[in-house]
Amino acid sequence: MTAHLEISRLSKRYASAGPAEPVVHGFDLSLLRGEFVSLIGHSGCGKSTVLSIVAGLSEPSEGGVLIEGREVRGPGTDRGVVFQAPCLLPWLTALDNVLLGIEQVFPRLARRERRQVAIRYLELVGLGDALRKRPGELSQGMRQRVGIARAFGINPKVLLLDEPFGALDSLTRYELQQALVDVLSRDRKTALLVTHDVDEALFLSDRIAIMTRGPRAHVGAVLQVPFPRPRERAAVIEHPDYYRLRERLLITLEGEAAEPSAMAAAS
Amino acid sequence: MAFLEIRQVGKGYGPRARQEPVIRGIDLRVGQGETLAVVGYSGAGKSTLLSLVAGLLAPDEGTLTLDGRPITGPGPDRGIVFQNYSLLPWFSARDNVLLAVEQIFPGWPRDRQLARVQEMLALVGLAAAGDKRPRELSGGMRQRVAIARALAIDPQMLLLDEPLGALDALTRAALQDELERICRSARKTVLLVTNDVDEALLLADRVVPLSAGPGASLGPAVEVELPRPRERRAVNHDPRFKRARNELIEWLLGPGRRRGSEARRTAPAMGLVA
Repeated sequence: MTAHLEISRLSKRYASAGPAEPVVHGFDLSLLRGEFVSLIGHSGCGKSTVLSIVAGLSEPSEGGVLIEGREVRGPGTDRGVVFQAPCLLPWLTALDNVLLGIEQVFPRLARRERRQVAIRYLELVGLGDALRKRPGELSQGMRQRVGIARAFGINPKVLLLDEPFGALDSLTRYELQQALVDVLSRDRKTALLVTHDVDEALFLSDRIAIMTRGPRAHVGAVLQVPFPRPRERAAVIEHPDYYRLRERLLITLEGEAAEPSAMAAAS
Repeated sequence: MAFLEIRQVGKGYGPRARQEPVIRGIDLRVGQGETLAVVGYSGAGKSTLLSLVAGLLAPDEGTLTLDGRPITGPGPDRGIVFQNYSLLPWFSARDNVLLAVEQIFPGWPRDRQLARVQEMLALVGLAAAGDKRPRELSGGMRQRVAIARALAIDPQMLLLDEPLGALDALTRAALQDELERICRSARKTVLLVTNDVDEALLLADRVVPLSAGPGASLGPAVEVELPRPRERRAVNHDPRFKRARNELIEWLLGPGRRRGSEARRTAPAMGLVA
């Protein structure tokens, strides 16, 4: 089977860093159609660098990115991006913010149909009764729901998520992850998520790619996430493998415990 | 009688307070030396609850007593740590802590006051940073200063209001382990409010979930029977951790979930509600 999104031999060197080593080097990752893959790693290891190259917002120094076999040469509407801050226009309603993207990508679509698409996604993310609210009237979590609806509204081939829930408190984060899972179960996308939240990666992903420490960061281990879909939080955290995978990821990210704990000895 | 007793407490804000209290029917007892965590959604009323215990707010209904006496206002028997540190920017770390010591122990000679400050800075791992001003310190270090200040007045009870909420995930993880050590060595009665189930489980002897507001109320308490010191990674293979964590998460995302979902909640939080 051929990859839907293919990142191949990617290397990125920042000019300002002088002749120094590349931040990311020899980075390879392939996603099948409809697959959800998370990229996790230490802070500053280059996760977001990879994502911004896939988004076309930054150019690779070597290597490249293919979507359905075509090279990425800049930003495009085949990719929907969700950043940590949803960057909504404050003077537009939730509905108009989502419509703005749809109008750009589908200018020939009838006005009524564009509205139907926007309303459909806003309803799917749980904002059915907040269509007319402006960003200032919405909580942070609700604004990010608008950001998700906007990304889906343009019907992208690939969804790119860069720490989308990183600014939210931990319980709101759980709710937004569920909202994202609910939309994805209706409208499957190939998705690449950058996060350092191990619970988020486990809940959302089919596979988790762990990046090595930079510089010259690349994909180290890849974990298969065995939880069945559609996913629901209670079932996922009760899965017999959940805490084993969680501990493995925490150790990879933060290293082994400094001192052997009493608990490790006790169990 | 428990050290801190909260009975049938309700509190609302503004003229519509009678129709929609932020919290209601709150019953909670914290034993001497116990660390109790209340975990719940942002805006659910956790900070309101803590402010009532601090004596910064008075309840609309119900009573609060500390060591058998009704809480009528703030006092040096309770030390508070807020999410935003609340340090004076023109004072060094040492002088920020000293300010509190001077207030509470005005009769002490200077060198005894200073020794107390130094002892507290050492406890939080800042023995060498006393001369630094808040802006020269990282967020994690500022919060350590705030903790040293709260402990310096030797309160009977430590109140922690999302103490690590403003920190990034990695600093937060490191300071969680540190806070666990500090709380253990300070041997205080501690009331912590947080939105982070893992933080609550790492620090507390008992965790009580708070439902989403308005009209937030407490859910079933979960005993944390994990030996100390606790370690964030290793706890994952302890079945007691899994059980306690799943119970809390499932209650908060299930029965304790905000009525009508987060989506329906309007944004601007009122007054002290974080």
